[in-house]
Amino acid sequence: MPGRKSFDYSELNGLGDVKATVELGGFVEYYPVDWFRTRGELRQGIGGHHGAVADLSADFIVPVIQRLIVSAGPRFTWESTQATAPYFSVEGIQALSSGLPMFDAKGGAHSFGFGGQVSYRFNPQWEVHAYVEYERLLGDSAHSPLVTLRGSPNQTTVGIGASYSFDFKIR
Amino acid sequence: MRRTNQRVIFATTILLLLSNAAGAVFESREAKLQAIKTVGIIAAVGDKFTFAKGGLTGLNNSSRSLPIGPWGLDDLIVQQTTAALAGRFQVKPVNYPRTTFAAIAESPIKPLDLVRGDPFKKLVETEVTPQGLDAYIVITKAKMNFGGGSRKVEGVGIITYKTVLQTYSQIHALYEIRVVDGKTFDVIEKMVAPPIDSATNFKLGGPSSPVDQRFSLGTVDLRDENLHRAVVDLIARSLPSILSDMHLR
Repeated sequence: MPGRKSFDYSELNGLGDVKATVELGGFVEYYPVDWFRTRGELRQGIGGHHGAVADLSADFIVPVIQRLIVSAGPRFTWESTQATAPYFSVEGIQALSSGLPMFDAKGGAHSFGFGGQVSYRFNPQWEVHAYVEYERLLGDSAHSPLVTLRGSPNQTTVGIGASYSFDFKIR
Repeated sequence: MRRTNQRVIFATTILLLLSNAAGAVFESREAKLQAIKTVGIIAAVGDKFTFAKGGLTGLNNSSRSLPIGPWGLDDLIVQQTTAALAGRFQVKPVNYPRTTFAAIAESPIKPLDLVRGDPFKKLVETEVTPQGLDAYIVITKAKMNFGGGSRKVEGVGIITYKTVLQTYSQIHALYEIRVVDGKTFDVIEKMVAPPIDSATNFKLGGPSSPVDQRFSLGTVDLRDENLHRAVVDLIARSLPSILSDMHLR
């Protein structure tokens, strides 16, 4: 996760920076049938936050043609207090310099939403994809004055990407 | 500046150590292959033909298998491998329980395979006669993912993949080759047969080719000579190239 720089957005003025975070963890996927994927992911932050983040998601996977696949489904994220607080708490000095009221953000349900992706595979190595994710913040993340007074609990992310698969063997 | 230099020296040392280690492994494998004079060939690929479904399937998408022992695919593989290797090695006939070799399955949990070691080592040591050859070439079914999802296909069969607009069927002969040391029973070399035409078979990383949909599950007749011929063609086209890739011919 990239760091949060208070000078990048006027809404963050006075809150100080949050360093970049590396999140390490693992995931489990289960496909009851080919066209439905469930996934759980658990990560531990190092750097900007030192908390735990858990993502749960499900996707309906619809191959339109062999190379073109559309997938979409619900999302849910849970975060510990250590993962939530650096971004959503407003401490004493921050309150004085930002004008926001003090707020002690606790962990818990962080967001729920919906995501969709379109991917097209050119060959065994190259694939391009585009995605859109909508999330509605929950709990203390949604109740933080940073969100209620200067932001919105509705968050949308769009992106495009390309991936290259390497083929190597472990002997 | 001094610290930067120290880091560069440290990184360079690590790279050199790694490249030396990799070089030693390759040299050792190459030396072991060069020392082989006599080999026995074991094939256990073609005991059953599997029909699988992928993509937009119903709720029951389990695969179905039918026996194809009478097709004689394993004998064909032994013959073709013998012909391909005869110029370099002295190929000796060997006896082995084909069904035992064919029944070995990968663990669904990959790391377990790394922990328990190669299951064919023990089989070659205990079930193959005669012992004492320099190496044994073991050719068995390979299992691999179809596309990016969870669907796995194995050995010889057809997978039918349904999309919104089209349905595709692909016939496959997925196998892997191990070279097992005849003295230590270590696996000297192992390789999965690659796709014959990677441009069209991008969903399956092994020998396969598109087939008519009339060959899909429920409508196929295994006595159909075209089906048998298609599998033989996949093996005949892929075998020489993988043996070359393994530096065995």
